[in-house]
Amino acid sequence: MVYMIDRVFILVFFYTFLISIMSLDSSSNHPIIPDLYCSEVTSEVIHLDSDDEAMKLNVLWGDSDHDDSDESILLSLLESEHDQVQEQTKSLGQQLRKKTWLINAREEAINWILKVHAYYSFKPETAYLSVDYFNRFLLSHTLTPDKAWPLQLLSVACLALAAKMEERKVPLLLDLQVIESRFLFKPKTVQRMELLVMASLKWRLRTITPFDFVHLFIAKLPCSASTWRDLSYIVSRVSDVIIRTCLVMDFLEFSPSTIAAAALLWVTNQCADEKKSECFHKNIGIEMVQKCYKLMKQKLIIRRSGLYWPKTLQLLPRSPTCVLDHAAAMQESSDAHHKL
Amino acid sequence: MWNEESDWIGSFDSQLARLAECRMCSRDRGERPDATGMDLEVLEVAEEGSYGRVFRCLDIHTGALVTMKQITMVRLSQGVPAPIIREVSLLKELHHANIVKLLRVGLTENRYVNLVFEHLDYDLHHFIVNRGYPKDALTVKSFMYQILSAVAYCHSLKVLHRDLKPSNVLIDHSKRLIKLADFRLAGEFADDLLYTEKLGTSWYRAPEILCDSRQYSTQIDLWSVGCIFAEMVIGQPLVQAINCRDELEGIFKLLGTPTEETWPGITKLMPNLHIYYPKFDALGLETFVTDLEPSGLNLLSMMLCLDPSRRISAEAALKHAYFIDVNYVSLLLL
Repeated sequence: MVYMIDRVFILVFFYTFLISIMSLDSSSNHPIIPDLYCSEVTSEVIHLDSDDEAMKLNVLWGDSDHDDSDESILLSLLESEHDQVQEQTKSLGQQLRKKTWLINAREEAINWILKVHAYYSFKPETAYLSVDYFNRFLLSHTLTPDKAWPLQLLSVACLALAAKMEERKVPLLLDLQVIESRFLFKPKTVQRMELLVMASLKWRLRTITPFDFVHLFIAKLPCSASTWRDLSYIVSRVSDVIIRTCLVMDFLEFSPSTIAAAALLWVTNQCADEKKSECFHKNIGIEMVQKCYKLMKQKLIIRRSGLYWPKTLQLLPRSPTCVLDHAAAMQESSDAHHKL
Repeated sequence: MWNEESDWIGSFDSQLARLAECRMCSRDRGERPDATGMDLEVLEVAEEGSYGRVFRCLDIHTGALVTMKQITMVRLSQGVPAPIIREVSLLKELHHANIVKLLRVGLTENRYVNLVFEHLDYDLHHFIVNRGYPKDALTVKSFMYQILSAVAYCHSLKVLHRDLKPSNVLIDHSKRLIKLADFRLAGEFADDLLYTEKLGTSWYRAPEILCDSRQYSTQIDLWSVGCIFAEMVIGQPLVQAINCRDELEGIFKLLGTPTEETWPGITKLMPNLHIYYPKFDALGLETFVTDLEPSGLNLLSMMLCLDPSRRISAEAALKHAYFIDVNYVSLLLL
């Protein structure tokens, strides 16, 4: 039973995620699909006809089989990424680190963003963008350490902006602040902050994120899993890792494509050697992927218990070798349940 | 269709916003806005748009003509409207010779977001209606190549325009340069489109959208480009209907009512297809678009393909034989 629920989880999440990747909108044609990041999903699993869903997924995924268009899309993304990174100072992490008080305050603010993100079942991209706006704003503005409300207001504004960029349904500005907020800001105040953030970011809110690269990189993996179930598992785990990087300031020096590549290698339990990096794209630096990979190895293990995540994700075991072994392990546990 | 409660609520909410907006606009209707904060001098009102007003302005510093799109921020409970955020953010990342350039963004009176664009002489709709459609075959080809270049660029960035029509195709007369404009509906969500669908013209809307399908992709823009292509050749819109149903019927009269063979999946998308629509045999594009060379007609038929999965992509269209016999240098010299 646990195994079946878990399979539905992965299927549902992958379907939702794939829809956003493919720029398709099917919410009006299908029942509301909960997101894996919502802790309430455990008790509200929607039973889908797995055969039909599998066929749909195969059809949708098949659209990505055109290697030429994939390659041009990837090159386009990398060029846009390079352009955006140039505009942002690469020493973002370094400058933020100089202010000791800001490190803790920033982490607290981002934790708040991630809680609201989980509460409303927003897309992973929304979480990442919120933190991106937050970081870029901090770079260009100085905030006084004695007051806590400016950072809270900034968090609300950044989350609202990201939701408006990415989500189909955006909660009211007041509703966004229902989760553990010490201050409650009027919509007019949040709007002014929104305008200030947008002006500070020069209205460049359409940021390239690691999620833009994930499915393109998965297609390039030499041992890429062929079944949709394995793919959905990989995508959800990679998204999990990417969102966790938002909390660690050290990841700020890496480009989104580097984070995506390292996260994918980390999830599929492969070494970040030269061949693995080259198979993604020649423009992606090998050294940076390796460095990012090592940082993931250090930081994410240490900080795993401290994060706010649905318990179902905590329970997922990490296979020591590869995804296929994990599938085998799940099969064994399924057999064990049958025997009971 | 509009049976879903969520759509009705969304529509009602949008209508309330529009009413509020009209009330605000009516006070300013006879007045020109003070744009000195934007370093602009307002010359005239160019247009009353659905989300605000458009002005022709003079840049005080450079003396250049610019277009300012002033968007009223309504519904303070939601902060800055999502369509504004999306359009500006999108335009900030689109750098292409055939896409209108957003020069700067500014705020006035804490109520208006002002988008300052480069100014172009007129749009393709104006060109067709007032100056006679481009009878010169080379001009049509040049315009088509530029439109497709811009669309292919957008699609490579995973951006759908979603509202391509002649009035959103701007023309620099002296250079014969085309620029796409109005990316307000661009992006990945259908909310705004669903609402606009009830107000705007459906003449350039792809059949899968007219069928009320929520699953669509880049192909919808190619259908729109195909309609623009035909209109440049014959001087009027291909199918002119007042609502989605009649527009769809006009398309079926022209191309034939689809079947599972011509459009796999159509019976699932429109279970009552043969109840609402007669079974038309295709009249054929050649009967309507008579002055187009064979390769152009072939390209047009690949754009105006009912089945979205078989419709040509912008990237592939640029490599079509229709464009091969033209020296690209001469295209630039036009």
